[in-house]
Amino acid sequence: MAWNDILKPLSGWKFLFKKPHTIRYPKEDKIPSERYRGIHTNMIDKCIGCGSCEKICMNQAITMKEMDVEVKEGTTNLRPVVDHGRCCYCGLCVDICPTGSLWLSRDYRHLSEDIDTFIIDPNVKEKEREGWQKAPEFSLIPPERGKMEEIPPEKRVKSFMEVFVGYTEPIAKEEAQRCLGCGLCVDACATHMHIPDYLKAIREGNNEEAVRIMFKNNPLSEICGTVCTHFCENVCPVGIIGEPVAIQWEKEFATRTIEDYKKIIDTTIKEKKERVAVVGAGPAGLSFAFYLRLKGYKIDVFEKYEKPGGMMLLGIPSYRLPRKVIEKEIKFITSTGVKIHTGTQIGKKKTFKELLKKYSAVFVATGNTKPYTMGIPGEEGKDTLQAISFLYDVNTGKKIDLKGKKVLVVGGGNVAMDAIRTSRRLGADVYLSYRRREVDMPADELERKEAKEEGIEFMIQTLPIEVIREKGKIKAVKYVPTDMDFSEKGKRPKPVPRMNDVRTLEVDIIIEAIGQGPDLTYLEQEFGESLKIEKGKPVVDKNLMCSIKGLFFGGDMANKQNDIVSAVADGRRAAEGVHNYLQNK
Amino acid sequence: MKQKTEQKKSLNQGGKNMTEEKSIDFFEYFIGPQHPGITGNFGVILNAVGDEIIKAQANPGYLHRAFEKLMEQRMYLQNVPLVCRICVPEPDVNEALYSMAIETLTGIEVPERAKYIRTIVLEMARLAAYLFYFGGTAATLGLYTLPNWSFGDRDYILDLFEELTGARIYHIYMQPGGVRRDLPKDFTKKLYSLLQTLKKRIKEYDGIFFDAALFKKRTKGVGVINKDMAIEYSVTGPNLRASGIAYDIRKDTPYLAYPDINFNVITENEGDFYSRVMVRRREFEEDIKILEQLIDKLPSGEVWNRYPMPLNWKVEKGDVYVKVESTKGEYGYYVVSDGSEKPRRIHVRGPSMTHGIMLLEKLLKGQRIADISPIMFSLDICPPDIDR
Repeated sequence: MAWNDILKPLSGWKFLFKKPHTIRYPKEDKIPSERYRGIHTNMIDKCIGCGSCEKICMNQAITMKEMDVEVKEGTTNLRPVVDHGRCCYCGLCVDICPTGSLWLSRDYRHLSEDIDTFIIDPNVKEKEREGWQKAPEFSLIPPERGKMEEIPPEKRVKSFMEVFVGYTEPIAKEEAQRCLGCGLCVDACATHMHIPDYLKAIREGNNEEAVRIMFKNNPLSEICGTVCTHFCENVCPVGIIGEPVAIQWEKEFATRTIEDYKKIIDTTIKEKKERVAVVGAGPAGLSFAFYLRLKGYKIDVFEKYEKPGGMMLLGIPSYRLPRKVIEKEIKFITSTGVKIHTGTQIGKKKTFKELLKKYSAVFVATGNTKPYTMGIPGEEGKDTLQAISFLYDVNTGKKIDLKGKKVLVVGGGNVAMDAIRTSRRLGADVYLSYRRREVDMPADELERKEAKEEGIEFMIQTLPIEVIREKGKIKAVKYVPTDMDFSEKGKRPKPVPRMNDVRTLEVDIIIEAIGQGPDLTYLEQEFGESLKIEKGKPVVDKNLMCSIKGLFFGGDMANKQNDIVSAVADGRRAAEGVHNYLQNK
Repeated sequence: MKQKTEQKKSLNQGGKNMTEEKSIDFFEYFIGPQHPGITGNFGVILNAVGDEIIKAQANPGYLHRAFEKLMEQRMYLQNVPLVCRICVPEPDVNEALYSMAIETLTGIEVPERAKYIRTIVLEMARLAAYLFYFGGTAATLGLYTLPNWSFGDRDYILDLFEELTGARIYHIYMQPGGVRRDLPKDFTKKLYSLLQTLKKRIKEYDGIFFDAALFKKRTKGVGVINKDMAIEYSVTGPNLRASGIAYDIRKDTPYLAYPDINFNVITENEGDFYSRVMVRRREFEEDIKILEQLIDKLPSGEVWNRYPMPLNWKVEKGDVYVKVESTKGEYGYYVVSDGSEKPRRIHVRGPSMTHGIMLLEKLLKGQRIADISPIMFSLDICPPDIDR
């Protein structure tokens, strides 16, 4: 031990007169870092109330509470409330929040004797963002959906082979993992399918259970898995970060793995004596027949065409919806005892009134069969086709050759997409004219993408104004570009034609796909004014019964959505309605 | 304090007059579980004759928060904010171990940059833990200048942690597949300049503490762990190296970015209190060198490889043991997954279990009461990791 060791510690005295380096609170304040994880803040209007923050919270510090907020489509009125006595400020709630409405502020002080004040409502209308915030690349939700094998466009356009390949099991399981389980999709789906439940069954490898859950709400699940307007995916919060969960493809995958639904779904029926008639074997009629049959009623379905399926069979091309899928689901429905009488048109030989006498109730779902026309000069002629009749002809096997012809399709919905892609497959050079912007198109995004890949030219924001004919045949179309008028809030923009800028496009054939409405001629003839009609559609109550007792309407002819899944939902709702009606008769 | 007495009964020959004679054999003392002089809420029951301890019995359990059981009831990601709480002075080893275990089970690769960032965090935590240790040890000897200095300097590291992770103590920064955010702007510059400050500061610490006669007098030859005893009692970490055995997990089974880093394994030969402190004092400088190398070699690129959506994340069936070198010794996690969303079992192998119970009981025997706290601190026991 040296003397130095005794003297050295005295060196500490030199610090006595140095400036202190600690924060002199309360004269000075500690400024938290930029990433500081402090007290929660939530933008109340940006939050959609999915409850993911509540689910990820390891301390159960977050509770979703009902609040007085405007509930838009794909949102709930639930907002988080945080118990700061439980919170550990880990920030997992921020990292999982799909909207980025939630963040941890740099505010860290809360002092009170009252423990109730530690339950803090973080919801604010507006506040500057600071502290621990959502970083898209670190979001806990994988943004990309499972990839599906694609057929190259050059190969696709050569035939009507199925475009849709579908998920394989590992990818389907992985994709089902992306579901947050918020259930916003259940509200958005017309049939209110229990989507989080069947996705859970799929990721657990229990496809049978998944299909059983699906068939509680939708007997045409495989068809809806292949072609659907999938409103569920449009509201999926995962879609805010990247691609929404592929709910439609998951459904297709699970149903595809089941060969015979009869083996897994319990269809024991307690027979009732009442008989119910259905007019139209489309999605609404079939769904109605299935659910009412399960309640024990005897069902007779009358279909005009030789095969059941309605627009699914006659409107949708086979490359998009393979015929074996339709056959499989109809086979299951008929296996429950539903009788389908094909080739029987009601209104001609048999009347609706006769049906009403013979049956306890009648459900009419004959769809939209009357196409709208543009009403422009030179429109009438053999070479101006209606999309639904054109598709009907193709789907019923009529030989149509469009090789080398120039076809202009007018419209922007899924029917227009079917028309352009079908024409392309028949060898035509195809143009599509749509009067609004591409984002305003009602057609499915995937359909649009695939159509473009197949070499179809999109003429966006154009409006045909005249058809030029030579010796009765179409020579060209005069059209004008349009501008968008956004003055009406909450609605799609209004197209305003630029009439001084007329352009011409040489074409051989025009296909109109601008919508269609129901054909009520026979009904009007029979019932006259006792059948109330508004805006071209019969008026129905909540049970879908019209002004005539025992007569129910559903599907495209009664709803605004005009798609398969809404028709299926109508069928199920009407089945409940008819059951209530007959029980209380 | 309780008196333990033994009754000596002496009977007189006739058996009529019975007298009782009392004599005190030893005193029983309770040290802890209150915090002063104890490294956490932990207790030691002592039997002492005069100032000499004849028996010491560790009395843990006051910090039991059932971490291992809680982990079985939470989803895999939800355990990330939980594990760091197992050790307060050096929480990051828990985060690193938990993430490494999940990565081994699932096969998620960690990007190279994330490996470096994790190593930087671990080494920074090491420095902070050592500063905590120096202060604590000096305070138990009644030398209160060093804790004021070292805790103040430790706050500069915590400031950097706050900038990097958003929190000062429980960083919750590492997650399976990497880390939660990339380094903020100018972080490495700030860290480098802090390292230079710390290099100067450690020399100043020498003056008031490490070279001080008071310190040397009190510590040399106290609480000796020799080589054989160290091996017999599964001593790990700096305590083992103080007994002359050059074993460091960072060197012997390297993980993260350690294979790319050059550093020396510091050893001392005496195995006493003084050696245990001096090993750490010298390692402090070695860790600064490691951090400087890490800053130099830090690669660019991604910092996180995704895992599935955490609410539905099922980890592959299997079990794994992972270990890292902490300032307290070998820290290990044994994770068993049954293929579900929650772990089936997680066992935490904290170094304080062996150091704080078996070894401490042995070492305290024959020591004086005034040396209990210093010896306990010299072993760097962290009671929360005994009571998992």
